[in-house]
Amino acid sequence: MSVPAAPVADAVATAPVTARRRSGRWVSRLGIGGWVALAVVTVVLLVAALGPLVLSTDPDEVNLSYGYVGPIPGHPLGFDGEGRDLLARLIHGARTALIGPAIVVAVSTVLGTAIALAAAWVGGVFDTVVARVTDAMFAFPGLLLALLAVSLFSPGVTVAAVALSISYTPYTARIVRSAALKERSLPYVAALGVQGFTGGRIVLRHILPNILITVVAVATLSFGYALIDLAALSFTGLGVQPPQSDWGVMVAEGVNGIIAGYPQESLFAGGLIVITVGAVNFLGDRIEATSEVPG
Amino acid sequence: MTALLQVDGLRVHLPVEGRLRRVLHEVSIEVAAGEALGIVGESGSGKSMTARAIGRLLPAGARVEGDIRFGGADVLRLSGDALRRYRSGGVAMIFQDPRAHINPVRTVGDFLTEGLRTHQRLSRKAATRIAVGLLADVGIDDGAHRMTQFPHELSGGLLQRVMIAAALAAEPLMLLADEPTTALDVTTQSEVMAILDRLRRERGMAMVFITHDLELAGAVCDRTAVMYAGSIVEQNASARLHSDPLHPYTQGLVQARPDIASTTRLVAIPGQPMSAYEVGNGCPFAARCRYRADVCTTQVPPLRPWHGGWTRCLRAEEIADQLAAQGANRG
Repeated sequence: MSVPAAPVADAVATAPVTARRRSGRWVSRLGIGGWVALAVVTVVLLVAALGPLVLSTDPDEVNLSYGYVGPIPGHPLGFDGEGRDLLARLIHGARTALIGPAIVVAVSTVLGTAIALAAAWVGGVFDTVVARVTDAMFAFPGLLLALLAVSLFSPGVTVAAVALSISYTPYTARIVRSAALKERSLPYVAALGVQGFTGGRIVLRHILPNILITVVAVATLSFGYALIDLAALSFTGLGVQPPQSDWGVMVAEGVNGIIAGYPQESLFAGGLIVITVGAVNFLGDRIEATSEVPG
Repeated sequence: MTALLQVDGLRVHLPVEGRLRRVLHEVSIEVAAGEALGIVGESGSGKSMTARAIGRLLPAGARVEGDIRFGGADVLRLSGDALRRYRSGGVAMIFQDPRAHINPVRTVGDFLTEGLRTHQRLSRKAATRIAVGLLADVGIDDGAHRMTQFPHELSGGLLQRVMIAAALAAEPLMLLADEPTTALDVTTQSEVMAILDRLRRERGMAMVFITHDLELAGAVCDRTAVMYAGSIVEQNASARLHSDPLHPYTQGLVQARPDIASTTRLVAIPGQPMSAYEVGNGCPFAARCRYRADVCTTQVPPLRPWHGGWTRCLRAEEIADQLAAQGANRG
């Protein structure tokens, strides 16, 4: 059985094409709305990552004589009540507003997916216990657990993010588990077992990649919720601590301005939260929708 | 000589709607190294269940009694590494529907090489070379190209060849082929069957071949076992079973097979096939049997040796006499 060399080279050349075509099909199912959402999310992430490096204005510089002054040259959005530059605070605030949810999503997705895969693979009593425990934890709103945690320990974004991670884990675990159970019941998984592969290999190399899109969708949706929850905590003064700039903190600090007739600070910060969460959730929905189409 | 595979008094109950229902009554088969055994039966007779029990593929909650020995090892009690070794090197299974049994989002190459790379610890290059060679063996010449394709890009016949190649890659002692050609169209069927038969003989692998086609089993298998309602009712050398069927059910099957030279109506077996869990006291085939006597409905027929094989009929001698008399009349 001699193998001619040409077809092998040919095959190597066509392999990336096949991969590109497949991902192309997947991406095209996002739709125009999905692409817009993806663009918005990308812009927000880029601003959060690069904005503070580019911007020379200090977000924490207080200049009381500029309190509630509108846009002037060099300061396109004007100032807050203490005369701090609003644009600089929004851009720096993007970082703090996004890092918290990123931690929550990373921890809850990894933990939740691991628990879900283990439960779906092992099955039996272990699976039942996992299902019941996640159900029970569903009864606890994430925000409540976070409130409890920060009042037990100390106010701050780290404690809040850890508490939210714990309360988001069962949510992730529940959805991923049902996807994993469905995948596990497919004949090819049984066939892999008969080929003598270990459970770990079947789960990590076959089941996980095939349900990855569900995991990504859940992670994206969680990110939006976590952003809202953490902003709400910061608004109540239990999350990010002033004077650090953060969108939630800014909404809270801007409340005084609303009364004084200067609603910009709350409006801009709140608007950014709404736009970011809206875009992230829409994107998550679109990704989830693409996962329902076999392909 | 001890058999490679020895199944003794295998009984399987499966949970159906909360109750355990019997799907296999008593299955006893033996396969020597390099030998092919056909298991023939209609839908629901338990032939696939038998294969699944041998491959340890029964659904969770199944109750299995009896004994399955493979190369001396107690298959039903294998676990962990021993079970993986049995499955990766002892038996390899070929399924009826290759499309459902191959990971749809991995390439054919991944499917073929994963076992070689994991179990035999070959490099990607070596595994690819072997896989391309195996594809050539099953009649796929542009193997290198096929390896980059996904299962949905291949036809059913090609994909079944890929599955056969994957089964051969493990170099197992025995193949478990569960209706490997049923899902294919007729011309593809004969090609795939010819390939499977040739490669198995060349490599000296044993095979348990599950089919509903008595003729096909006879063509590729040394011995054939006929199953009805969860029991094996007759077992003999394929040629003998074909020319001298003794059990009334086997007779019915042989007579029901179309013959291209004859224009007479086919003789159908009267009545409905019975599910294994419906079988009561007595012979499961009694209700449809034209040789039925009173004893058939009250006594479960044991397996009895018969002309080098086995039969499960209480009236074997009388039937044999009748058949001999008929043969004499005709002659």
